Amino acid sequence: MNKGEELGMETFQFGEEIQSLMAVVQPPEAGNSFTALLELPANQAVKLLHSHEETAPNNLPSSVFPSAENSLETTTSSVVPNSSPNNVNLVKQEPIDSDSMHNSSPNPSDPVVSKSTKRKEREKNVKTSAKKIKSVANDDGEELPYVHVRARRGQATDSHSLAERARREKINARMKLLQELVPGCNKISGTAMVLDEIINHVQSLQRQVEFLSMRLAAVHPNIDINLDNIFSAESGSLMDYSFPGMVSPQPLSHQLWQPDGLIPQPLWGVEETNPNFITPENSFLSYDSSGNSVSLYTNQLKMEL
Amino acid sequence: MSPPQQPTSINPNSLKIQLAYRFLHNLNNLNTKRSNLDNTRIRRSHRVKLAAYASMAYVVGSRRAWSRAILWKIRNRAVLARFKRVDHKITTPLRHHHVHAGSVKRRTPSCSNPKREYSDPFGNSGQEVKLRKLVPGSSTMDALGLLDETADYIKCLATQVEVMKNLVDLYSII
Repeated sequence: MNKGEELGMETFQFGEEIQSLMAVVQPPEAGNSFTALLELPANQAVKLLHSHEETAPNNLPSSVFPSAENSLETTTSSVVPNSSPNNVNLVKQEPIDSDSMHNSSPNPSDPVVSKSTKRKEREKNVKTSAKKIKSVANDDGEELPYVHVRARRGQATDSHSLAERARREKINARMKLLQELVPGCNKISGTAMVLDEIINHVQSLQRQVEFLSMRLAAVHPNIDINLDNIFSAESGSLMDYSFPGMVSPQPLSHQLWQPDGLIPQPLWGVEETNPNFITPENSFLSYDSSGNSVSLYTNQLKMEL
Repeated sequence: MSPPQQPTSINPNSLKIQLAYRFLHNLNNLNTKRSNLDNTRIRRSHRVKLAAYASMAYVVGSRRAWSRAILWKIRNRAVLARFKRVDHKITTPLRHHHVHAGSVKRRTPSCSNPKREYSDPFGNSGQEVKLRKLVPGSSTMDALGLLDETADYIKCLATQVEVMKNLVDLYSII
C-alpha cells in the first residue's frame, strides 16, 4: 500500500508537470512558475520542488517560457538523453517525437509516456497545479508502471481526449506560424478570424498573380529572351561595354542582388540611368540574337531582382 | 558614374532566385514553343499564369503536396480536359492518392473532403473547406497538414508575386 501511495504521489507530481507541458504553447495564459505553485498548499509545493530536484538532477537549463512554436518538438528530443536514471522504472524510455503521438494509432501509453518525459523540462512551468489535486482521486485505481497524464479540472481523462487536446495544441502552434506569415494577423485573436484572414490573404495573392500575369502578357511578346545565354553567361564577364550604372565586372551570380530584393534598392539602376539606359537597351534588344544583348538584359534583370 | 554598393553575398539557392530563373525559363518556352502570337491577350495571360504556377511548383518540387498536385495537373492536362468535358460534376475517384485529389475540378465542397471529420474540426464555419479549395492538393490532409501546406503555399506565392512584380517593373521601363 505504501508503494501505491508513493506511486500515487509521484504520479501526481509528474502529472502536474505534464499539465504545465500541455500549457507551454499558451505562454500568455500560463502564470509564471512560482506564482502558480503558490496556489498549491505549501507542503505539496515544496514536495513538488524537492521531488524534482531529487529525481531530475541533471535537468536541462530550460528556458522558462519557450516562445517558439516548435518548442514541444525540440525539447522532447533534448530531454531524452538527459533523463535521469531514477525515473527509468517509472517512465518508459522511447524515442520521443511529439508528432509520433498523433501519427501513430492512439496508444494510451505512448502519449502518456512521451509527455511525462517532456515534463522534466517543464518542472518550473507548472501552470495551475492546484487544479490537478481534484483529479487525483479519480485515477487512484490505476497502477500501471507508466506515469499518468493528469487531466485538468473538469476535463475528461481518457486517453483519446488527451491526444485530442495535444493535437489541438499542435494546431494552435501552426496557426501561430500562419499568423506570422500573414501580415496583420497578429492582433486578431480567435481561430475563426485568423482563418478568415488567411483565406483572404491566399485569395489576394492568387489574384495578384493573375493580374501580374495579365500585365506580363501585355508586355512580354515584345521581348524575346534567350535564356540559354543568360544561364551560360553567369560565370563570364558580361561587361564588354561601358555602361553607366550597370557596371559589374564581378561574376553576376553572387554579387548582384540581395535575396530580399527590396524594390527600392535595385531601382537605383533604373532611376539614375534611365535616360542612358533605355536607348541602348532598345537597340540591343532589337538584335536579340547576340549574346551581348541578352546578357545586358540579364544584368538588369538581376539587378532588379 | 561609380556604381553604388553591391550587395555582398546572396544565397544563390534562395527561393526567389530559383523561382525567377524557372519562371523566365517557362516564359521563354511559352513564347518559343507556341508561335500563336495572334492569340488574344486573355489567352496569353492565362498561359503566363500557368507558367507562373508551374514554375512555382517546379521549384518546390515534390516536397509539398500542393506542388505535387500542381505538377500532376499540368502533366495530365490532356487527360483532365477530356475528363472535364465528359462529366462536370466529378467526385474524385482517386481519393486515396493525395497527388490526384487536388486536380479534379470540384463543384461540391463535400467532395473535397473525403473524410467527414475533416470538414469541421475547428468548429469553424466552413472556412477550412474554403481553404482546401484554395490550396491545391490539400483535400486529403487533416487540419494539421492543411495548415502546414497553407503556410508553405503562402510563402511560395508571396515570392512568386514578388518576382513577377519585379519583372513587370523591369518590363515597364523599357
